[in-house]
Amino acid sequence: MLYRVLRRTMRSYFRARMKIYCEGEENIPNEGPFFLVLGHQSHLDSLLLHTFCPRFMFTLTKSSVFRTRFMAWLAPRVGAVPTRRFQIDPQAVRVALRLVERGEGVGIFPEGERSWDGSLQPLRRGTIKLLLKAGVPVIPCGMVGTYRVLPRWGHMNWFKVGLGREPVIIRYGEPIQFGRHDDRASRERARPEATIRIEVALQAVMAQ
Amino acid sequence: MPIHHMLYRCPRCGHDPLDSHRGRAKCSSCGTQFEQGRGAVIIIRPPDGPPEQSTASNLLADVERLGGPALGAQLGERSLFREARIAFGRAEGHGVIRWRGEVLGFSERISWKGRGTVRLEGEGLTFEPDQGTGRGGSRQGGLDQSFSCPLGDIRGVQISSRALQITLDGGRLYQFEFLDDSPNRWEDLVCLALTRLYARTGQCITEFKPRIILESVR
Repeated sequence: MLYRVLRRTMRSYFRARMKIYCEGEENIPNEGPFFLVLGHQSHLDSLLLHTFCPRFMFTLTKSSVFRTRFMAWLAPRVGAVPTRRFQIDPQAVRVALRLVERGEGVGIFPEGERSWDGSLQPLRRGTIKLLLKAGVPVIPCGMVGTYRVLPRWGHMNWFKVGLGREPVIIRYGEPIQFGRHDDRASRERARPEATIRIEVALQAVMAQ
Repeated sequence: MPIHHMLYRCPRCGHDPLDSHRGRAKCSSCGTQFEQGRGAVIIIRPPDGPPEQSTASNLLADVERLGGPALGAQLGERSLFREARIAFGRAEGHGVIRWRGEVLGFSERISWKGRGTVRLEGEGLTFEPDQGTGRGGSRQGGLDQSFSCPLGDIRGVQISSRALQITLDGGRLYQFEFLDDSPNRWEDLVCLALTRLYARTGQCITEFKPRIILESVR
């Protein structure tokens, strides 16, 4: 209920301020598990994902977001799963795997932080190993234009964000299948190639 | 995050640091101002001459070309030095995040220990609190009042919002929130110091986050 109300409110907010276009929505399955990997360029990325993705998504979110009592209450209700980025967080991995086993979609920012200049940063190897372990389809997603609206070095002002009616394209790529890699050695062997495939796919969906 | 956190050195003349004024970054040496334009463009206003436009990637490349975090902070070829005013915090325990009766994860609780000066010097990182700002330090063996670690003990470095997070052995997390300096610069600086440290032992760092991963250079 809360999720639906917030989603509707945020849709109106974003539609009033930006020209939102969605491409490749047919690549998001109506049911069944998947990982959505996103290039991270702006604070707006996860908000736009939760607002416009055709399916309810969980996203791995930095744990500091949950520090206040209000956010610790609200964030899980809109699909945010805390991840402690300063260490390898086994609980976040367990929860992500549990969610995909249940048939949910889970969003991950494999760079681990926003880019300063809008370019794709190196992907964290732990994230790639998680994708290989899960063995579910991996869908690349690019938010084209969020960097132009609110770059990392920009000033965040909810009243002024997007007043220029900049276009933002939410683009979903075709699913990538890696197969399931149960043992650590197999994941380690498959990691370099999987990293390159995801990087190439993200570059494609993030292209202007 | 303010623009001078990204451009911690003047991309034009290399002066360090840039001053912040009403959302703009200004170089006190050459007088050039940098401000956000529409569409993530950075408008450069030289003191004499018309304004120009540039992108973050071009200006970051200029900052790097002019020495990145190291120039002007170097004591010698192998040693880096810099200090800055910070609010110092340490993770003490964590909050449990639940949803529909199930544990989703944990959020670290940062316990703020007061303000002081963080210093990168030689092969160590130290924090000295201002007089009278440490809280509870005497009750906990002085740990709260000062902090010092050799660079070799650092297991991870990253920015979180306006703070630099350092992870030591056992996942102990320390947080430095900069009062008048750029966390981006400090991340670059600590990473550079660590890269140099491990290069001396014939190793290179392939990943800094969430933990430092080393490989031998053959």
